[in-house]
Amino acid sequence: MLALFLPLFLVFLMFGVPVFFAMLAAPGILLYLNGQEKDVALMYRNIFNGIDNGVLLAIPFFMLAGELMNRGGITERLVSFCQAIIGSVRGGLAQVNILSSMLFAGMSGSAVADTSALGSMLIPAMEKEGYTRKFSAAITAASSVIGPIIPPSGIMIIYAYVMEVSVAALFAGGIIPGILVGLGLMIVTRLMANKYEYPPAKRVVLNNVTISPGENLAARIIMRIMLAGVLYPLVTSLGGFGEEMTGGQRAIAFAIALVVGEVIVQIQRRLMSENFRIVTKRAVLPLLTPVIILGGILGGVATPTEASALAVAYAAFLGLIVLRTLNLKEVPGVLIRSATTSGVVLLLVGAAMAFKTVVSLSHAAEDLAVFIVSITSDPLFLLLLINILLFIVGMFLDAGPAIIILGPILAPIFINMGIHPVHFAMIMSVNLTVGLATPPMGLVLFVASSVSGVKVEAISRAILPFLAVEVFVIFLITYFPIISLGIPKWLGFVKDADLMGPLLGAIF
Amino acid sequence: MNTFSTLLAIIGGFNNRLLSFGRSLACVAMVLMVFCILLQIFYRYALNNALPWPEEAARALMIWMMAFVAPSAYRYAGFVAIEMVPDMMPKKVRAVLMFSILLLATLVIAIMLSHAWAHFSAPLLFDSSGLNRLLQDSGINQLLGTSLEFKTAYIYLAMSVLLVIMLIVSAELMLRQIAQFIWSEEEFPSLQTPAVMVGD
Repeated sequence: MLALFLPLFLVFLMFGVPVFFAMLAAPGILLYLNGQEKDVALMYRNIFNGIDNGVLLAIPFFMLAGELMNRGGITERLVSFCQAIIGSVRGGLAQVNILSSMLFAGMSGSAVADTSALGSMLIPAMEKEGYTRKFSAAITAASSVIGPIIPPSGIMIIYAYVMEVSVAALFAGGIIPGILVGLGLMIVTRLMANKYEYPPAKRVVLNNVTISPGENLAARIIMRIMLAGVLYPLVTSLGGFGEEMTGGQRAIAFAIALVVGEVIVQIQRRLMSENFRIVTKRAVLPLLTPVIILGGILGGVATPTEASALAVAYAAFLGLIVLRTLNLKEVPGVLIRSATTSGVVLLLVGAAMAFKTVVSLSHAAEDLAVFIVSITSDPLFLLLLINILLFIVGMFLDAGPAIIILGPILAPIFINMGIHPVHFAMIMSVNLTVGLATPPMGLVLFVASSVSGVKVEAISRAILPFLAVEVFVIFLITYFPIISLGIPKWLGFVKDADLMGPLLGAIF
Repeated sequence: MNTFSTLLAIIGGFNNRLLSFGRSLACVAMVLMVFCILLQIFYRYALNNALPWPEEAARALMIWMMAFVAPSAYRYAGFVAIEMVPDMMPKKVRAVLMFSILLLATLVIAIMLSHAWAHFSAPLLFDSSGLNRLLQDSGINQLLGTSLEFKTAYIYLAMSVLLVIMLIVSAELMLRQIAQFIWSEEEFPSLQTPAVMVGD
């Protein structure tokens, strides 16, 4: 009888009961009817214990960092940088929109923040250039789903915590899928640019941009250090330093990387205009944020909580002191909004832990597994079915709550069938994130509508070609595990992963 | 109707002040959380001396922060729900459905509150070792001549506070729903989210 809590939960959801209450009321009612009142107390303890965990501190911190950057004028610098880089191709501003989303994704991890920050700036600019308003809103909404795929990602932290998977592994796993979604959108935009005669190519580098001497110096130093960091592995492998390097050898290798980097910078100086160089320098300090976050977490230097706190400190430092684009009066609002959003998410995570207890008490996952396997035991077909289910759920429910609800039910089934936990996490995360941009309930569609003033129905039609690309990427991720497991395996976060998967395994 | 308006005005005014105060406390908690973790990073990496209390303090602050702001989200419809079916219903039917949902939510909150209170007032109140270290190391007890101790129950209390405030908010939302059903939405308009929470 207890297993009936799942249909009851769905009925509650359908009739508009908030997810938090539905997750507690449905199992609670059936526990009472089943005479298991003691388990209701257990549910409560699991809510509290679910929230009382240091890993979850990363959720409010990443939200706060995103809000601070959103308000701190960082968006404007990123967009100018992307314009300088990619604005000269046909359909340039649309491409800028996508590239800005990819860079913004490395800082905020929220699709809504991405849509509102980039949309309010780029949609009017695109319209001025000759794009239709609905196309501009659609590309903004479609590209903003990259936000929670490229790390840091709020939903991945939630998934990692609820399903006991490494946050670092999920962050590493999201990099390639996020880039694939971005590249896919860029290709479609390029093809559409020819067909619909989007504005012709023109160089878009802001003129007469200035940079303060302090920021100029900081940007120059950081850019050289980052370039040396990229060249360092190349120098060590080509320089014949051997496997075990001493401290002195590391210093020499880094010095060589610095010199090589300097040569590259000098060549680049001759090729680029003064304006282009200034625009690039102005983007260096904001672009250090993903380096701090990802470098810290993936390099094993900092925990996700520590990296997120550093991101907050850095974003506040940039906005308040360096760029001075953030007003002290705005800070309480920023704090309240991030506290409120994360407060609701934390309650949901607590409810998810209680829900997970009842899923386990009721053996609902096992019953569902038996039912699913009775349909077919072919993992390829099951993955197709599950993708369809996730896509439909994503149309109606926000990604975070959907992951919280479906993770404990679906993940054990597929993990038992041999799908790697990180791979399944990626399938769920990317699919449900794309759901943010699907009608009728896609959250970013509503945000794009409010930013652009275009009706949701019009954006929903204009977004279809982009959604088709995103669905294609979901299938690539599903059937080619190497896409989501390659980097985590390379970095040593997953050891026993089968990178080929059932499809490639069958072919080769 | 006048009595109803007065009652709603009183409870609404009380909630406005209470929740606004809660949001201010949540801001402070958020800043302190960041400070605790930055201090932990500094001590761990710069001084090579991992402090035992910052993470525990940040966790406690996070739970209290949630207790201070979640009622605001509840009052201003910030809890995620799929409202497609209710939106398709006629006004009066929708009002009855929304009232039933609020009733269910209130029941969940009340049951949770009974467990939260039992959790807080359980006979076994553990000391919070990390935070007691903070009291010792900071010399607060010596300075004040007291023997203050942190109990984990102080963190458990946050849930009771959260649920009590949510009950008060529930009462207001139900009264408003009844008023909208009997009279009209024009006379008893739905609550507007404060600008500071929207960010415009």
